[in-house]
Amino acid sequence: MSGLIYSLCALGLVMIGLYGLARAHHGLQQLLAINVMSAGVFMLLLTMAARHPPADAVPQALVLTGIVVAISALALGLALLRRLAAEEAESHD
Amino acid sequence: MLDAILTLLILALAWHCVRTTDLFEAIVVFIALGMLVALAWTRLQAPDAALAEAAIGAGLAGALLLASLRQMPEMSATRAPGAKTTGLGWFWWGLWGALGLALVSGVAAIQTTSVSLMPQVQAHLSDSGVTHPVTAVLLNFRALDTALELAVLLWAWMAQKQLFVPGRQTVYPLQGQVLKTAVKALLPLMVLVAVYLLWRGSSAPGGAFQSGAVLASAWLMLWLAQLPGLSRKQGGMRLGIQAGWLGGVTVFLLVGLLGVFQGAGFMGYPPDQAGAWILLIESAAALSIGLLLASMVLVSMPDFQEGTL
Repeated sequence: MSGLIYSLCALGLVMIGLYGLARAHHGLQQLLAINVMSAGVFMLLLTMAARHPPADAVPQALVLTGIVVAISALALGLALLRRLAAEEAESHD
Repeated sequence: MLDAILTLLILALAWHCVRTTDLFEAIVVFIALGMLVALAWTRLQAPDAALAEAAIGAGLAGALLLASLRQMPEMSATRAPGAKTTGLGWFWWGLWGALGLALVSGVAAIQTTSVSLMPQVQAHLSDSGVTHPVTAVLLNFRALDTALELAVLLWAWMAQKQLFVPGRQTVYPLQGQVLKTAVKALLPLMVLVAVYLLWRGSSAPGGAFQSGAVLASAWLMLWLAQLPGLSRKQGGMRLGIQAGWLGGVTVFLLVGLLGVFQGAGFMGYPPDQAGAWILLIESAAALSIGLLLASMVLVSMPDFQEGTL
């Protein structure tokens, strides 16, 4: 039962993230929306892993790897946005 | 019941996070969302992932976002004047709904199939050198994934170094004796916790990722309190930091190559030595992850100057 609830939650997160990505007005909003989507994907993987006890370790390891890759992508995206903001500020001066 | 409430809270926070036009508010909601998601993952019997999400996904991501926020243009500056601010057109809503339905039917289809790799993991656990299944998968069975993930982290950091813009803003330094004393008292404890998490990873939830996240926050605190600490100007520190950045991937790949000469194949270890090699790799990886994550947050600070790192 709880598996079904969390599957739906995972889908909800992906769909909300997608909606946020579509209507974002600011780069930061896009990054946040992508991260909301990735939380949904991770949750779906973990839900699949937890269907039969003991929980499957392979998807859990994948999610751990995914979390670190997601923060790398977030940090890189933010660095790009900061650079963009600095270049724009310079061209306005 | 708890699951239902948690799910509703998560979805409500996610909705608010993407809906709000106040960027600061969106970030704060995102951090809270990360914490609740971590809570949900402990309910899904994934304590390793929950620890990592709380420390990295909510904590460090929040620090990165908040530090970057001040250097971004205002929300209104990026929106064309007079542009429609209301949601999507009917066509896009239709597409969005259709995709949602497709996803629901797809997930419903996987619910009935049952594939688990856990029996294989448990069958070979005694050869892996550790007793915690997740660590066995990360550092032994799927070691190449983890090595490449460290490479991705390193690459992302190198790319950020290239994009670096010196901070132009001045911020009030977090000074004060209370902060300095607290950091001095907490620092040894944090290092101890990091080593404990690393050691514990072989038999229980924990390991290089969680340990690295704790190390990263220890370094950030040291820097925020402006204690004489890790800065490039101090002789051998520069080399040490560079070695730390590269250490994780290098040690991982060298041990992986060693497996070729021992006849266990690339990234394979002989079962009787596996425990020792895994501990060596995890130590180097935790140090690397800690340094890389902390460096990423440090360069995003509004007052960061080149040469500090």
